[in-house]
Amino acid sequence: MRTHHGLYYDSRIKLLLILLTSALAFALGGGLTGLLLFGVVCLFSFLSGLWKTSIKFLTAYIALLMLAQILPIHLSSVITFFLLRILTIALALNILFQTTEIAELIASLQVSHIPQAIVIPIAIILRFLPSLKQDAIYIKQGMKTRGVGLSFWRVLSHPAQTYEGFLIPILMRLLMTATELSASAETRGISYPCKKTHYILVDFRLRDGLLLIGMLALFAVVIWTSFQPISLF
Amino acid sequence: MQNENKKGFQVRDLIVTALLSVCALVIYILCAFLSFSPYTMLVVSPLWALLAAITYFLVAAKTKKPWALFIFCAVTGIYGFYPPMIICCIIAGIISALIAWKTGCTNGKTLTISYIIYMVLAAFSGTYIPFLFFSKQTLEQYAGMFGESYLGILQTLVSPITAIIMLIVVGLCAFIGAIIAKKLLKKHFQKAGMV
Repeated sequence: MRTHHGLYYDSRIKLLLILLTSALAFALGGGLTGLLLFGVVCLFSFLSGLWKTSIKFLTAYIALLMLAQILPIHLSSVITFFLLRILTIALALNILFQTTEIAELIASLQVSHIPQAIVIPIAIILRFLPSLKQDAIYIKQGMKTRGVGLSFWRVLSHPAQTYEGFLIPILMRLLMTATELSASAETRGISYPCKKTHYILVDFRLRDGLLLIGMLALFAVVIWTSFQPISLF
Repeated sequence: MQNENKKGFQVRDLIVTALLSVCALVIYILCAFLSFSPYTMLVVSPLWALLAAITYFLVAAKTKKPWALFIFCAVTGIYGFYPPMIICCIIAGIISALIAWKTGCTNGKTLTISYIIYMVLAAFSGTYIPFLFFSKQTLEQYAGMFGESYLGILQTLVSPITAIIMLIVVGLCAFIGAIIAKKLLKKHFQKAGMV
């Protein structure tokens, strides 16, 4: 079990937080709505005890928001449309990654009677995302060692070589990861047709229920704000 | 059809499909950074069709299961959290699975056709449907997000004719992407014995 000093709550709430954040981040407008959405996620991050991560993300968000005000519209649109929204989603993902074991998440989803065909991809996607980032760093370093750096000009001047040199090792690594993960899962009897038991006991307590209601109310406020003619700057 | 994997549901196939879907989504997110100007925004879908082909073909080659193609299309659609895109990607997934079920997952020609259908439907629902059917609301939203100058250029660019031309371009890019993907599969994965 990971040790963290914040409030312990059901991993399904964290998953719902990610789903709602990703859905609303791109469906609703930016500006005040985006800031409020980030505020809700940040609040849950603080509640989960991720003080350092929350402060880092908050600083980055404010810095980017300020930068968007002084840059030309084409550059500021990249910040407001993508970077700020991706930052919000990344913080929501961080809450799940840093405070939840994948086994706990799988147990929660299986207790909720969600089919295995949905549980496995969710667990795999969440487990693999941090590894993908790490693999990309290693491949980038490997390419640099072989004189095929991954700079902006290199991508523009040799797009095919960069695409092949970067993507193929990622895919190779990915297929190896898939083989390792499936072997590990099969060894633990994932395919065996029986009722699964878990080391981690999952129960949805009153505290989780109250937190869920609070979260939904906050998201309702964010949605309501997006329909109001209020401007941030 | 001789090399088709006749085994039923296998966890390994599900894991491979999920991981390759993540890879396709990451490629899409990277392509989507080009939305900083109205001109480059039109390039997002064709570029994704060109670059993500390898992931689609790898799903078919590695799992050899039609349902894996359906899951791949559905997962990439669901990530958009946009109802028309989810519906179109699920339809594309059903079409891809039916084609693969009928002709086999190792048939390059039919896989190319199903990939083109998938990409055209994804582009149609994700990028062009908002402008064709909800143009007023979409343009207002873009004005709020990017400013009036962005909207001005966008209004001159967006029309049903542009949308049709762009869908043809997406189809062509998907075709080229499929050719590149097949060559890369042969060059790297088949020689290494990974598929």
